[in-house]
Amino acid sequence: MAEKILLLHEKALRYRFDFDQTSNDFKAIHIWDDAYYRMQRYSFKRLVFIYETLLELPLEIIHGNTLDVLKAQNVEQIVIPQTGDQALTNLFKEIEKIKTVQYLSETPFVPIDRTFQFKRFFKYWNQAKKTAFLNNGNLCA
Amino acid sequence: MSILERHFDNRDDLVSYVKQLAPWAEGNASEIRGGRLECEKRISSLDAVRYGKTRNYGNGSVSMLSPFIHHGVITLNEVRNYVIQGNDSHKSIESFIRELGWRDFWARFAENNEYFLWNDVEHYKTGYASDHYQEKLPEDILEGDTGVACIDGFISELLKTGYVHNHARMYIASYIVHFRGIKWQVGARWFLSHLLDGDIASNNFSWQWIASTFSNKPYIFNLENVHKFFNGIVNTTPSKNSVLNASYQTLQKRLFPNLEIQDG
Ligand SMILES: Cc1cc2nc3c(=O)[nH]c(=O)nc-3n(C[C@H](O)[C@H](O)[C@H](O)COP(=O)(O)OP(=O)(O)OC[C@H]3O[C@@H](n4cnc5c(N)ncnc54)[C@H](O)[C@@H]3O)c2cc1C
Repeated sequence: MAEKILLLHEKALRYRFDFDQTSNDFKAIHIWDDAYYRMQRYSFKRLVFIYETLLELPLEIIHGNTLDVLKAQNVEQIVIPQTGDQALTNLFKEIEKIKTVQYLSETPFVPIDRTFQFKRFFKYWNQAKKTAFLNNGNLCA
Repeated sequence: MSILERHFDNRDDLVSYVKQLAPWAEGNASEIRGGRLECEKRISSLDAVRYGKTRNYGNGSVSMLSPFIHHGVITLNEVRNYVIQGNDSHKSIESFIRELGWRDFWARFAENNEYFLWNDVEHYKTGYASDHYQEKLPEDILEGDTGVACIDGFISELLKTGYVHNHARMYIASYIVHFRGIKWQVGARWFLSHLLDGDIASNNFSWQWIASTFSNKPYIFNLENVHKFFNGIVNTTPSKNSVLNASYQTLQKRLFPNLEIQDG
């Protein structure tokens, strides 16, 4: 039986993460949450795009309210790819109230402090271009 | 709660299935397909060097990767790693890498400034205060029936496929905010629901960039410019695009008369 759930939300529709995916102790799911998609006001073409992408991933697509679906899973830990998206981040905070959440971070495009306060692109780019042309933004091997 | 279907005989069956799941969602499916395989096709046919010379043209070598990047099918890091692999000269691929940087820039700004996603970062530099702009998108725009042929062509593409070239997004946004006097927020919300890559940071800050609430001046364009970059792709006949058929100087005076007075 799976001990962890990898929750692939609509901003992380891929299957390569910095996380041990060889073991059998996890299963990947996507929750098709009507309330969430309605709140986003997605057009039909966008929903088809998302569903079509899900079909190529080795996961279960579960229809229901995100929190109800997760509550019903007999696992303690939910692994979630991180995103800067505010609506999803708020949802993840709700998940933290019912399960243990482990976040997977994404290799950033460039290693600039995330609290930066540039208001114009050229200021950002003056820093970013120092590593933007390097593999992994020069962050790891 | 139920487990949803994963196997379909063909795309039509998949589309009908999604329709049953989301009867409330408007419109039809796009011809643009989702999935990692489709994404890999695009990335392997990407010519990042040619991109630099042609990206502003409607038929230029743009990647069409944005829906895949937005939905995390591929990360910015992976795209960059792929592009630099085959290209030793930074100069030749600078333009493409810099555009990836724009996405990163907007996302980082949004993380630290959530409030500005829906509020003006700065004041309008158009000679008007924000209450000059209308709060509602008129039907003719929603339906792509404005009577300005090129704009209608771009809107039709948006509604049909959910993908619009960057330059065309700039034209539509500028038309809505500056030619029609509508708040950028209204247009931004509309774009977000239709674009397959609809991304609150890239979208809303780009709208603010056009509007001048997150840039030093409003972005405007004229028919000559559309003709240069989109000739043969949309209808650029002068008689069908008369509001755009003027010099920049004339448009500047017509669209921002208060600036003239202030400058004068
Ligand atoms: C009014 C307006 C609204 C926009 N809304 C969105 C949106 O909702 N989602 C979105 O991803 N982009 C948005 N953009 C930015 C840009 O138009 C698209 O990213 C680009 O057109 C996507 O097409 P492409 O993948 O072929 O891009 P390419 O030109 O091939 O660029 C490669 C990648 O770089 C990034 N990129 C390129 N140009 C920009 C840019 N100006 N700003 C941010 N990232 C960029 C994208 O991730 C893109 O996929 C908007 C621009 C404007 C003017």
